[in-house]
Amino acid sequence: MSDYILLYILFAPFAGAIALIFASNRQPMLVRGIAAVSAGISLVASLYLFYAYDPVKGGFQFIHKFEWSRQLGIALHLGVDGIGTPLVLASSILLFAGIFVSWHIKDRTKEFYIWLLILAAATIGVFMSLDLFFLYFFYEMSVIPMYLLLGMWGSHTKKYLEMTDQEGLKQRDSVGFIFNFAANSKEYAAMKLVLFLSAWAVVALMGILLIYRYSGLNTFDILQLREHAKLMNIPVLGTTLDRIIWVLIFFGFASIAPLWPLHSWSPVGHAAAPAATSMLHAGVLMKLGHFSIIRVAFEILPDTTRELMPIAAVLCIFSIIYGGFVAFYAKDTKYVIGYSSSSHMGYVFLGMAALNYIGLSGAVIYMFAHAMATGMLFAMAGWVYDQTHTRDIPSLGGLANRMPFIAGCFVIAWR
Amino acid sequence: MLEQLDSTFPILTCLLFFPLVGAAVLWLFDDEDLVRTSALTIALVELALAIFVLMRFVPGSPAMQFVEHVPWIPALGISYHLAVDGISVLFVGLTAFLTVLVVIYSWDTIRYQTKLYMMALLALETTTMGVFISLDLILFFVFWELMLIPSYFLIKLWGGGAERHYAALKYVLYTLLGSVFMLVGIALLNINYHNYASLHHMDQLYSFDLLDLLAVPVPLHQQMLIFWLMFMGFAFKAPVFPFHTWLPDALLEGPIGMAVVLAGIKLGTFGFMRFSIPLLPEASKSPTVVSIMMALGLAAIVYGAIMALVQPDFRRLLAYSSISHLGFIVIGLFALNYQGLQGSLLTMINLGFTTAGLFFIAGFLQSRQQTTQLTAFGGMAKHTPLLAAFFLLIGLASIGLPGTNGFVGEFLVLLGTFKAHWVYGAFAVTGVIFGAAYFLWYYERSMMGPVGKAVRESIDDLHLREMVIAVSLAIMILWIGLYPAPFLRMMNGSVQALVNRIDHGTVAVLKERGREMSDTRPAGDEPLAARPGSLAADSL
Repeated sequence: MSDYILLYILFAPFAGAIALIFASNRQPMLVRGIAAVSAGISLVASLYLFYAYDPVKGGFQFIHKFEWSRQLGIALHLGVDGIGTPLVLASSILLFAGIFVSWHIKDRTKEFYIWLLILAAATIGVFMSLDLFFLYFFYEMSVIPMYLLLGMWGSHTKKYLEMTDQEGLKQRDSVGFIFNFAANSKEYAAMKLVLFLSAWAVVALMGILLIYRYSGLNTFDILQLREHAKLMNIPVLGTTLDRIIWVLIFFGFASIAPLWPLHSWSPVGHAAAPAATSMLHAGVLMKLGHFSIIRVAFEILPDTTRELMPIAAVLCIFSIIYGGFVAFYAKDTKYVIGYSSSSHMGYVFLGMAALNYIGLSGAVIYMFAHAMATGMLFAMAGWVYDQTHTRDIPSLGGLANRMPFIAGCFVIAWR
Repeated sequence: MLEQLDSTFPILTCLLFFPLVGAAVLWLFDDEDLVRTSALTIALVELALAIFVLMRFVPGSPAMQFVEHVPWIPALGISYHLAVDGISVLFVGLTAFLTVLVVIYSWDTIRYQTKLYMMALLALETTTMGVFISLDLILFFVFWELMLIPSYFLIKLWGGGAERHYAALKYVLYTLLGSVFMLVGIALLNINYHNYASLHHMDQLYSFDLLDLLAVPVPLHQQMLIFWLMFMGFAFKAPVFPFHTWLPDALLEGPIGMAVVLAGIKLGTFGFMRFSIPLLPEASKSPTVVSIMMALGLAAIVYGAIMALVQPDFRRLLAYSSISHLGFIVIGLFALNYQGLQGSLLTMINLGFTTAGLFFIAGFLQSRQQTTQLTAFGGMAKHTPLLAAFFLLIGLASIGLPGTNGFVGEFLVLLGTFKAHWVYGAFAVTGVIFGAAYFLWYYERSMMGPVGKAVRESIDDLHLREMVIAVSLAIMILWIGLYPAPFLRMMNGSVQALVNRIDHGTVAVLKERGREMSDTRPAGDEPLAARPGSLAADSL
């Protein structure tokens, strides 16, 4: 059992998604059941993983390696360390919870659960990958389902589809659609999110490919590259090149975190997303950024990290303050949570930028804690929206009278 | 000396002429259903033959396999020389596979002259196969030209658009224009061989055989000339960016079946890989050629993607997206390293499933709404969930979602490009983003959102024949996406040999030949050359 634990966690949701393809929308309970069971297997397995991970021994445990292409040095290399384990657990908790939160979805239930399972499984995949190729593979895989989840099951903030420009042309049919920042349709949010994230993912990919090219090891294996970095000491690949790669990797992955100047897709995406997706999105997807930066930039380019991370910390502080201010003024529940998340993520960055044991372990704990709290908040926001059909905060005044339980949960989640 | 795996049975000749013979047999039938059934049978038998070749093919070996060599016009050194290697063998399978799907698709979408249509389609299959498996340049050229005849009639007679006559003529004229240049290039190669052969008193004074031509060096200035002559032929056919204008017309006006073959089977870029690069390695790796080809490739990526973004017609969008994808293939090829070449070869195969698959989807849309204009769609997923699901899967494969074949090909190409030069890589990655934009945007507007006014309640979802097409494409897409190793293994021997050829150039050939004549085993001094049978001249 314990030998293949990572495979259970990773492939249970994928297997569930495949099984769902053959289910029918006419039996919604069966569909939900399959999704819940596969997520449940993943949850139980990751609880076991959390219990079985040996913190005294530390390092990477439960390692699996399957050759994928020997010539290119790509292998499905899985393993978790003390950072990956809690995040894997958080993902499977949120996936399991998300399935129950979206129990009421009646429109194309099957497809919704398929994409939700793929999204969560891809996220888990990133947290386990010890191979740069597969890290990127799962990372990219977690971005695209967001488009469908938002575009199909999301919600508009305005009566967007009827909006026309001066010439009477429907706005969604004009090319300016993609750059139309005023409109808050779910389609716009979905497109913005996917384009932003894939654009920055590609920047990170450039960094990864440069590492592959200049390390000369002909491998994508993170452990080997890390050993290489240790042996070579400073500078790993040549100082300037190291800095370029570091910047590419950092900003590429920080976009999903989301760091301050790259954050603008995030609140829009949160607002448009259905509750379960927001939960996964804010709960774990954002952490992909921090995690990947730790995994790639910190592990492979330690010296450059020591040099540049303090500079990047300035952006983190901006992120914290800016996110906080906007959240303070926002009038939409989901915007508030979205901006507050992006503010909190700044703290994680700051913890990482401390570059010491306490800072880093604080960041990891914070990531796990934030995953739980935000997951809960978005679930609450979703429930409130289901009952009231509004997310406008001024019109939700005195809600605690009618929904004392939810109000209580809000308080707990928001500390 | 040649590690050529002879088979006792002339399987490639069967593979080559079976569809043509089948087309002739079709002539005898009158009943339309009988014609369809027999065309399908012929295409299926051909696919079985192709699968047999793929199964018997020894993967990882750079050798030419299933060789058939018969002199044709000995005085001019023209021979009937057929063989497959890692570069061409997958195309053989792909051609047979797509033809089966096109026959299935055309079952009820071709309403008149079904017999002639099927005959033209099978003839097209023969000529396409011929292009892939000929090793003699004249034989290759014959098939290259013959291909235009069925293509011309397919576009002209069964095309759906009003401009189909124009499109058919444009396609033929453009390709012919390119081939004329290519023919001159082939002649120059022959003359070069002749000069070399008479100087060294070789037995054979003339040859158009690829393997013979590979064994003689070509002076650099002549290589450049021949490269650009061959380039014209392949660039028009591919089509590489500034020569692309016939493609949208042909794809839009012609029948879906023709569009599938034109967009799915990448003959032009195959030509670069098979002939230009190995025959003219010094020219191919000269900085001028590399930078021009890279610039053309990058321009194609960006131009195609931007054009695709603004198209309201799905078929036109696909035409431009296929120009954009071709840019990827070109930059992968001219990265001139292992990953780049392998990636662009895999991308060529991939597009046979994804772009061709999207053309099938366009066909499904067209047979429902009589047009692929955006105005006819909207919210289709509500009434046609299966169509929407396969549309999404194939589309995501074409934009390179991890887990589908597009991702593997794209990743390898980018890897190769970054190895060659990071600037090219940095530009190439923009294509990935644009790709996501144009596909997802079109998908969102046609399949998602509120149901469009033109979409009837009673619109059909995929029926059985369409399901067969969609499912078989989906299987291939996921197979290559999740486990590409068998496909990569098939090509890696030949790709490695090609890389060696590029690294050592034609001069190395002479050294190797000298060594061979003194009957010593060639010892690879570099790890790249250490593979068994990596003799560049023999293996290509």
